[in-house]
Amino acid sequence: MAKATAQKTKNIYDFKKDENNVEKLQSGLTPDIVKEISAKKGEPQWMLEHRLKSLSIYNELKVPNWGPDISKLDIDNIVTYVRSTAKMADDWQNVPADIRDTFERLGIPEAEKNAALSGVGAQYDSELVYHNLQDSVAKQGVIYCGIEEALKGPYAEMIKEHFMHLVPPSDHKFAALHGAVWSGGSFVYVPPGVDVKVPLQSYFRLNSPGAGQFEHTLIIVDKNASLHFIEGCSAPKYNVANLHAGCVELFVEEGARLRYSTIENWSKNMFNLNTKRAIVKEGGNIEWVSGSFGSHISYLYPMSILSGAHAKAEFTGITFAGEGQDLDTGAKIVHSAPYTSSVINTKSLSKAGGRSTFRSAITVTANAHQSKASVSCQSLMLDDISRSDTIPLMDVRCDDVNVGHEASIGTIDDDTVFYLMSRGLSETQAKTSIVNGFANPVSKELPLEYTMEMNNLIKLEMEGGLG
Amino acid sequence: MNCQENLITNVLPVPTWNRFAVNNTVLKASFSNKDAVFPHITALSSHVHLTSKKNESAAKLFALCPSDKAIAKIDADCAIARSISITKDANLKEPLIIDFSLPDKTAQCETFDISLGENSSCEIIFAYGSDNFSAKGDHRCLIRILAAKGAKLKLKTLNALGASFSHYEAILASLDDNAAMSLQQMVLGGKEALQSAYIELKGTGASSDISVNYLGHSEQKIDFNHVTRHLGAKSKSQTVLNGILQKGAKKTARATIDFVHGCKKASGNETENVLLLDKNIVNKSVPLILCDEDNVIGNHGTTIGSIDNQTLFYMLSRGLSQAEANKLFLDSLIEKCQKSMPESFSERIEKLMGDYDE
Amino acid sequence: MNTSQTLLDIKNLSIASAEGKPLLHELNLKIEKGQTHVLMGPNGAGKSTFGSSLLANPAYKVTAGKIILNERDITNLAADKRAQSGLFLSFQTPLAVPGVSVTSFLNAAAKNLHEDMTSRVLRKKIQEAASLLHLPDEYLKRDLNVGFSGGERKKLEMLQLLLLDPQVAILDETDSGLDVDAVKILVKAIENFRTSGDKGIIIISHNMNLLNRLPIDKVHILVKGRLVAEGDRTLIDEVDQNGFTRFEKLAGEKNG
Repeated sequence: MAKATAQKTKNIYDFKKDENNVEKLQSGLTPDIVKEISAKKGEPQWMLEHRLKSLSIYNELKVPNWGPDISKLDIDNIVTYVRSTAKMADDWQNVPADIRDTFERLGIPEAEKNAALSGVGAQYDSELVYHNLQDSVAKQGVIYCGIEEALKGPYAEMIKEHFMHLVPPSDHKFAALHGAVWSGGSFVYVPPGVDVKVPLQSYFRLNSPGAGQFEHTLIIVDKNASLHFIEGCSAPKYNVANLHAGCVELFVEEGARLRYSTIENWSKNMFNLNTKRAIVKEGGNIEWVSGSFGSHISYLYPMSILSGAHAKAEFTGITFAGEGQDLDTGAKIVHSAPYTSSVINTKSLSKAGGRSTFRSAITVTANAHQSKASVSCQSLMLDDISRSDTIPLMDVRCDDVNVGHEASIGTIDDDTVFYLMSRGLSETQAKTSIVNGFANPVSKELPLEYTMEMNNLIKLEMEGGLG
Repeated sequence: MNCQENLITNVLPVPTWNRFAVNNTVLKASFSNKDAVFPHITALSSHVHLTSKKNESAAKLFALCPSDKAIAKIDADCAIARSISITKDANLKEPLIIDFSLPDKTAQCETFDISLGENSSCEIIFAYGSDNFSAKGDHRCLIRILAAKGAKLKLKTLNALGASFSHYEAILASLDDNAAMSLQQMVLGGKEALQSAYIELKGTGASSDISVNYLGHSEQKIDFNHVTRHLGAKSKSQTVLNGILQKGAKKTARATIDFVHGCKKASGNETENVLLLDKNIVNKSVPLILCDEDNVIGNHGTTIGSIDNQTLFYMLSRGLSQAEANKLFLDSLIEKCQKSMPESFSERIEKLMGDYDE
Repeated sequence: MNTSQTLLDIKNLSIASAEGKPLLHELNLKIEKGQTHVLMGPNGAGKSTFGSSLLANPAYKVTAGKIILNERDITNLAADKRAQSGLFLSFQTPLAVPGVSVTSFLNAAAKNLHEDMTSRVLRKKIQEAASLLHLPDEYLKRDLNVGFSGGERKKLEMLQLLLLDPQVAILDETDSGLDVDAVKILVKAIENFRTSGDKGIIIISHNMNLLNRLPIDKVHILVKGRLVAEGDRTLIDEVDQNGFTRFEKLAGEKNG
């Protein structure tokens, strides 16, 4: 019973496509491979130099001495670059049938058609296969396109000024790896004062076994503009390790607002070593909504740098670690200007031997007077073979501030189960509704279809676990 | 006896980002014992056995802090070793006071082993002061505790050293079924105060209650590591750190609740309140909850900063200004330490605070 | 009317939140020496905002009007100065303040308001008040409100009232969470406070157990941030029997 439902849970994502029409580069990472990637993309010289410099940093840096064990990730066995021969299209009809079928199964063209999204980008393995933006949004001057394409267009200089400035390759080993082999991803620019009412969505699909995905997302929301961006990720399960080392850089200018929602449902053989960072200027606002359900191992801590007075950050996250998963997630906030404020609110669940770790860092610098930070993280243990750790950190160097942190960990309360059962619910129903209630404050922040998916996931997991 | 290498100590049980420099701290290497300074010990009775050698079975407690390089070294280098054992069922009415008055140029490592017989109960106070405020010195001590079934220990340590003294204090304890230990560490002085406690709640129903009160001042470096390991079913722990930082003090507090697989129905609470009264301070807090068992309750809460708006309004509404409210927190902290100690210490604490103010 | 008998005079007072949202509108309320007033109103009417803003909670700001205490304009004074000029608020939900012991808090507050009070007198007053309120000694050794039940917190508020001995006391739901016996103790404390005959009291409460036991000079009804009715204690009985419907209509007319 448990097995069957687990299968069912994965079904919608866990389907594979034959590797037709693909060219693969040899495994391992050398300057020649990096040069070859760059040459194929026909990118500017500065980018080649950036890649080579990143590669040498990558070779110098050590893997982290904290966090989940990634010794099973052998970079030499990862085909770092896999490219479909398909050309990027702006019409789903021109996307190769098997790839189009993949995205149709994931419901992406449907959502676009229903005008739930104002623009869609779809990446398949290393390259974008589809990108489109509604005319009405394009007319407002919003740019949403492949970042490689943008590197050759009128925004080339803007990209050069921002690319990996927020996440420098020296930040950590996998940021350096990203700098060396990055491929694909989106570029978004929202001009001053423009309010993009309907979200943009990029969807990342990794199909090839043993591959890496290293997409780069660069978003600039100019003064007083606003945007909601949704990122979705999935992959079928293979027996070899896959690696995702993407990078997201978000620039929120004065008075601008950006909401960045992520639903990560990579398959359970994925090493997800992603780096996301936002810098928020005066009066700007970044909201992160993050659901982490997939991957074998995750290191994921979106960082917000509040560099202007009155800048705000909000992080809402949920992590569900099931069998074979070790998900180390959380957030980092840097308060480096006065009157800044931040709120972190997370939930994590551990089940069937899964490990979830909440990790955070709040930094309040000496000039962040009158700033406020609050962190709340709650963890629920669904059985006694799982594990849940909470590792928060606060570094405060300013007296005139208020920093608060709350954490709790526990299991489903027997009294509550009894109360619900006394009103006629079965034990499974009672426990499922308690878990839903636990996840709800966070999952309701997810885009609607993902909230429903999350609730389904919980239901299936709970029935599987208790049946 | 010399040790050349720097000693890694106060190790966070699970490491995090290196750039915040909280994963451990370093105890400076070059150290050699000078002439031994013996404590004044009061309230010895027929139920207390004091010997001048270590308790061999306390060595197993080093397993509580496997990555720590300083603790075993201090034990190996100790100039003074004492064992105190309390007879089974004994109930000591008077606190046992081990009072150190350390002179200028002190350099000393000590090991104290305390074992409590079944159902015994006692209060033990370690007080460290320097014989004058400007005295310089380096003092390192290790206190190891074995508490048998049903034993109750109240342990208090007072760091009332002058502003040029370094103080290192590590407490290791293992508690059997239904044993209970309260630990109150009062950290009022020292140029450097590296203080830790590793408590293992080994038996069913064992409980610990750690309370740390500290006042950081005079560019002081304070570094804490409190780890409570829940092994026993229904074990209970509480860790409360209350402190004030001013005048350039730098403090790191690590506090960990570790629910080990099998500690069914255990519960652990951690609370930390830090009041910041000056601009040039550094406060780092790293409160961990590690959980390998489902049927447990773990809670943690931290507040860091100036007096919060609601509390401040309450104080103002009673006619106190903000400066008076700040002073009230300072005075209360000192008063709390005074009340926790026998009356004879009140004046010493008062004098120490006066010396720091000058 | 002899103005020297007026203790507290609230004139056309309007209050907004710190962010500027209007909360209380053109309040007028006058308390004579020796009087006890009652403020009633439905949930959300602004009763607690009234009490809290009278003590200049920085969460609120005065947008119009004046507060005169003993012929002195205190409108522009901060909370500590208002307290020093003789106003006292018993908080509806007194918060816990870890790190500050009850004793040192009482010492600091009392000596601040009554410079001439010796430690001996202070200790005696605390003891007397604690015993009147049936508050065990051990509570005084704890940190402020830490580990106190709701009822014990209220008793500690009353202890402060007796100790600080202000001119005007605002008791915000001081009776809530108290059982019948505790309400009787509360009544005793209030009587004790007003013995001198020159004090003013504003009680925010709907509790007949409390209100029936006290002489009431005036009753004010607050609805949607406006004082819509004023009268003698028969108003209390009307509210007790019929609720606030009639007054809500009045507020509707005023707002319209």
